[in-house]
Amino acid sequence: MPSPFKQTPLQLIPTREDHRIAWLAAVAILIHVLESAVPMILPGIKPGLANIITITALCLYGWPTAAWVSFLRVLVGSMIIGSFLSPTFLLSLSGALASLAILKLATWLPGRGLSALGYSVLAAMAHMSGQFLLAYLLFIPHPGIWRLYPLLMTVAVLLGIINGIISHRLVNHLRR
Amino acid sequence: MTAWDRVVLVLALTLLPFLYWQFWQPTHRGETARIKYDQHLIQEISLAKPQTLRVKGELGDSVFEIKDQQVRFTHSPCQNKVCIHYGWLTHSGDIMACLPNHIVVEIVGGERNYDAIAF
Repeated sequence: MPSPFKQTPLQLIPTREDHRIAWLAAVAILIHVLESAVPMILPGIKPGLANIITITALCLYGWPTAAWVSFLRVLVGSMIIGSFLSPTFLLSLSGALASLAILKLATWLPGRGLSALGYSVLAAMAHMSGQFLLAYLLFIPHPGIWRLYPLLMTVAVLLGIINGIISHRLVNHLRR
Repeated sequence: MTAWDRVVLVLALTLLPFLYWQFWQPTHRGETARIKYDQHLIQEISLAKPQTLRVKGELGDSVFEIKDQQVRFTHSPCQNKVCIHYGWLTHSGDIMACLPNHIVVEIVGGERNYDAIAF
């Protein structure tokens, strides 16, 4: 009599897209981990070079791929660094979700839409704002932290532009 | 760079000065000094009128001077005179104390300033 608990072997057949996401996420995670080892002058400021990969993925393969890459980067990156489920991780996640949301909206723009530069600036600003909102709601519910907001947003815009230019070149290079 | 890129850049760069304007308003002056002996409120006094006042504490009388919407300790029976060296108190939310004499002064009224920003 065959056992009722007999299981058919689970088979996962990775698609081309799965491979692509895995590769991109791997690169993003590597950058994320390397970047976390670099000491920063000011708290809250980080170049966010891993976002270059998110933006590049968005430009080349569309929003779902970018979302996967970004989400996997935050998840696996935090596990490697050891900040999984810590405040750092939550801040990182809120930033990633905020920038993915704004990127989704930005893809609906009519005409030629945005290039990597515009996406990157928008994402950087949303990232910073999402983190600030979470920090305010969860960790420091004091209006004082908003005094830092203009300063950090300035840095976010500048880094967004720099990352955007890098990402733009990367996209052009990979499209060829 | 597409047309929308320019729109995003212009919006981002115009947003920044607005943020500074919005979040970096100057701090507000307080209106009233609240003087406490331990946890008990002794006096709540307006900063509008210049005057000198005496408050009895643990060791003796602490003397305050109120001038130009500010308040400071001028005389104190304590040993180290930290309270006098603290100087003038102006902004809402600011606190100074003479611990040996158990006297605490807090500025209230107006819009509160931040006591600290942690990150």
